[in-house]
Amino acid sequence: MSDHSFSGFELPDELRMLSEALRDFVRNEILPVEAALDPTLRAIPQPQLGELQAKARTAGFWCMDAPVEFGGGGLSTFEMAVVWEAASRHRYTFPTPGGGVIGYSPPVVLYRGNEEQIEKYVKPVIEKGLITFTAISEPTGGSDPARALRTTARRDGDKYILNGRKMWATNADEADFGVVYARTDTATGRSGISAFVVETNTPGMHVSKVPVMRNHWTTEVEFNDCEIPAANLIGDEGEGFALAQKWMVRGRVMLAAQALGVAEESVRMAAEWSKERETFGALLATRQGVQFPLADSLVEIEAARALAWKAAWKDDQGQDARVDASMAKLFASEMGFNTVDRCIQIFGGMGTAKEMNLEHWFRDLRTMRIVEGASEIQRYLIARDLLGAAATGR
Amino acid sequence: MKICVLVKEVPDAAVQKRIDPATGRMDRSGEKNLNPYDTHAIEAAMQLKESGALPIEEIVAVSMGPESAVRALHKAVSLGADRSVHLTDAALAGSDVAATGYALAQTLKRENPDLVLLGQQSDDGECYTIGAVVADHLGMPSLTQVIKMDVEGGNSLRAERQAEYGYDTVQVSLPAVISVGDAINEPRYPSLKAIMGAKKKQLDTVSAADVAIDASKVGGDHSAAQWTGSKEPPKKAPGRIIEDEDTAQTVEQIVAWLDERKLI
Ligand SMILES: Cc1cc2nc3c(=O)[nH]c(=O)nc-3n(C[C@H](O)[C@H](O)[C@H](O)COP(=O)(O)OP(=O)(O)OC[C@H]3O[C@@H](n4cnc5c(N)ncnc54)[C@H](O)[C@@H]3O)c2cc1C
Ligand SMILES: Cc1cc2nc3c(=O)[nH]c(=O)nc-3n(C[C@H](O)[C@H](O)[C@H](O)COP(=O)(O)OP(=O)(O)OC[C@H]3O[C@@H](n4cnc5c(N)ncnc54)[C@H](O)[C@@H]3O)c2cc1C
Repeated sequence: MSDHSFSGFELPDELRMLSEALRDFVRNEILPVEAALDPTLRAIPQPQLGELQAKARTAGFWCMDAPVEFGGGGLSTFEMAVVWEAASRHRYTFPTPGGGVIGYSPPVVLYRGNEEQIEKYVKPVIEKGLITFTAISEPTGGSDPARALRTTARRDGDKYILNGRKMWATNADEADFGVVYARTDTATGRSGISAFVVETNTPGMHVSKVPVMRNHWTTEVEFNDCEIPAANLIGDEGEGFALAQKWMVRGRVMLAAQALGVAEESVRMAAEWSKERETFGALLATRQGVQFPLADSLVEIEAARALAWKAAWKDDQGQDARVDASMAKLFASEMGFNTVDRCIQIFGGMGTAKEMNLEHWFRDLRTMRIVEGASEIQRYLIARDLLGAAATGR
Repeated sequence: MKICVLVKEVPDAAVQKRIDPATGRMDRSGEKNLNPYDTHAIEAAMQLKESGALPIEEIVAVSMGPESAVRALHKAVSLGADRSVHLTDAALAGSDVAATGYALAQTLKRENPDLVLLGQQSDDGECYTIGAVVADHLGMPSLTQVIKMDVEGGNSLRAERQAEYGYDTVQVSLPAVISVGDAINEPRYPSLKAIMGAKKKQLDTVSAADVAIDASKVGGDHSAAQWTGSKEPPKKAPGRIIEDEDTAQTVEQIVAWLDERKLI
C-alpha cells in the first residue's frame, strides 16, 4: 500500500463502541417503552421519560454534544454525527434523538455567555435536565431574520424592555428559560440584533401553543413591555448571530445524521417486510418495483453519510465547513423524507398506521425540510458560495 | 484483591456462523463482538467491587486471540475493567479447548488473581469447558453456571449454580475460578466516559514465551482434538401451510392434524 492511500472510512474502535452502545440503548430501552404507548401520543410521557433518563444518565448518555466543562459529553462534531445516527432510530426522535431521554443541550449561543450566565443557565440545564427554547423566527419570516426580525429590546437603566412577537419557538411552553433574539439597534440589519436570556415566568411574556404536523408542537411568544435584567444580554449588543455561528455547522450535521438514522431504519424495516409479504403469488422482494426504491434509498443514504461526515471532519479540523454542512442538511433531510415515503409505499396500509414509526417520521421529516434553514435556504447558501456577489444581483 | 475476567472475541450474534470447509475452523471473518456471556462476568466483577464486601483493587480483562481481540478488551474496559492483558501469538492458532485453557492459565499465573470470572460458554465454540481447564491448571476450585454470588466472610463466596434439576448452593473459598450464566445480572451499558477513555487504559500484549507457555502444548498441530470433518444439520421438511379460507374448516384441519399425532 502506498503512503498516499486514503484511510478515512474506518471508525475508531471507541466511536464504533459508542455508536453500538447507543443503538443498543435505543433498541433495548426506548423502543419497548414506545411500543407500549398509545401511538397517538406526541411524546414519551412521565413517568416513563424520567425512568429512561435515569438509565441514560448512569451511562453518561446525556447532553453528549455539550462541552465537558459544562457537564456535557464533550463529543466532537464527527463523533456527534456518528452517535446521532445511532440514537435516532426510534419513534419520538424529532426534534432531538432520544425524545428527551438523553437530555436536551442548552441553546448553543449561551456557551459564549459570561461566567455568571454559564453557572446560572448552562450548567443547570445539563445537571437538572431543564428544557429551554430559542426564539429567532417571527410572523414576518424565519429564512431571513436579519431583515424580518422586528422584536425590539430597549435599554432602560439596568434593564432591557422587550416588545414584539416570536413564531414557532419550540418548547417555550415547557421551558424554564430561553434565548430570544431582538433588535437593540433598529437602524441596522444583522449587526443590530442581540441575544438575551428570558425566563418564561417574566411578566409581559405570553406563550401560546401552535399545533403543527410534527409530533413536537411549537409556540408563539408575545412580549409586551417585558422587562429583563440587563445582565441577561449574551455577549455584546449586536453580537447575537455572530456568537451562535460557531455551532451552526455542528447543528446542521446533527440534523443530517438524524435523518440518516431514520432513513436507514426505514429501509431495514421495509426490506424485512418485503421478504415476508406476498402478493399475486410472490414475495414483494422479488418485484423490481420494490427493489429499485430500496436500492435508490441505500445509495442516497451512503451519499448523505459521506456529505455529513465530510462536513463534520472539516469542522473538527477547524476548517470552514459551512457550505459542506448546508449540503449535508439539504441532501439528508430531502433524502430522509423521500426514503420514508418510499418505505411507507412498500408497507401499503400498514405504513400509514400510527403504530408504525414510519408515519411519525414522515411528518417529522417533512418538517425538517423547513426548519433550521429550509432546503431553499441551504441551496441559496451553496449557490452564493459558488457565484459570489453575482448571486445577490450585485 | 484482584479479579481477572476472561473475555473472548466471537462472531457477532447477528452473523450467520459457518465452518470453513478447508480448515475445519469457524469462519471468523465477519463482524465480531465481545462474547455476551463475558459481559455478565465483567458485571459480576463490577458488582463485587462496588459492593465493597471484598477489598477489590483491580479488575483485569484477559483474552487470547488475534490482533482483532483488542476490540473485545476495549469493550471489557469500557464496561468497567481497569486494564487488560492480550495473549497473542501465531503459535496459539488452532488451539483446542485444552490448549486454550492451558495458555490462559499460564497468562493468569502472572497476574496471580484472587478470583477468576468467565462466561459459562462462548457464543461460537460453546464448549462450556474453559473454566474447568483453567481451574485445573491453576489448582483452584472451579464452579460453573453460577447465577448468584454473595460474599461470605472475608475470603469466601456463597454461589448458586443453575443445575439441570434445580439450584445448588455452594460455598467456595478464594482463590477460585467461577463461570457465570446470563441470569446472574443485567450488564450495564458501557458509559460514554469509559468508552472514550478505553484506549488510554493499560493494555499489555504478551506472547506465548512471555508467559512461559510450552509451545509443544499449544496450536493446531499440538492439540489433542483434531477436526476431521463437519456436515450441515439435516434440512427440516417444509411445514404445511393451511390457508384460512373458512375458519371453521381451518380449525377442523388443525385439530385433525394434532389428533393424528396424538398431541391432543
Ligand atoms: C416545527 C417547527 C419548529 C420550529 N422551531 C423554531 C424555533 O425553535 N425557533 C425559531 O426561531 N424558529 C423555529 N421555527 C421556524 C423556522 O426556522 C422557520 O419556519 C423557517 O426558518 C422558515 O421561515 P418561515 O416559516 O418564516 O418561511 P419564509 O422565510 O417566509 O419562507 C417561505 C418559503 O420560501 C422559501 N424561500 C425563502 N427565501 C427564498 C429564496 N430566496 N428563494 C427561494 N425560496 C425561498 C423558504 O425556504 C420557504 O420554503 C420552527 C418551524 C417549525 C415548522
Ligand atoms: C480442533 C480445534 C481447533 C480450533 N481452532 C481455533 C482457532 O483457530 N481459532 C479460534 O479462535 N478458536 C479455535 N478453536 C476454539 C478454541 O480454541 C476453543 O474452543 C475456545 O477458545 C474455548 O472454547 P469455547 O470458546 O467453546 O469455551 P467455553 O468453555 O464455551 O467458554 C467459556 C468462557 O471461557 C472464556 N474463554 C474462552 N475462550 C477464550 C479466549 N480465547 N480468551 C479468553 N477467554 C476465553 C470466556 O470467558 C468464555 O465465556 C478450536 C477448537 C478446536 C477443538
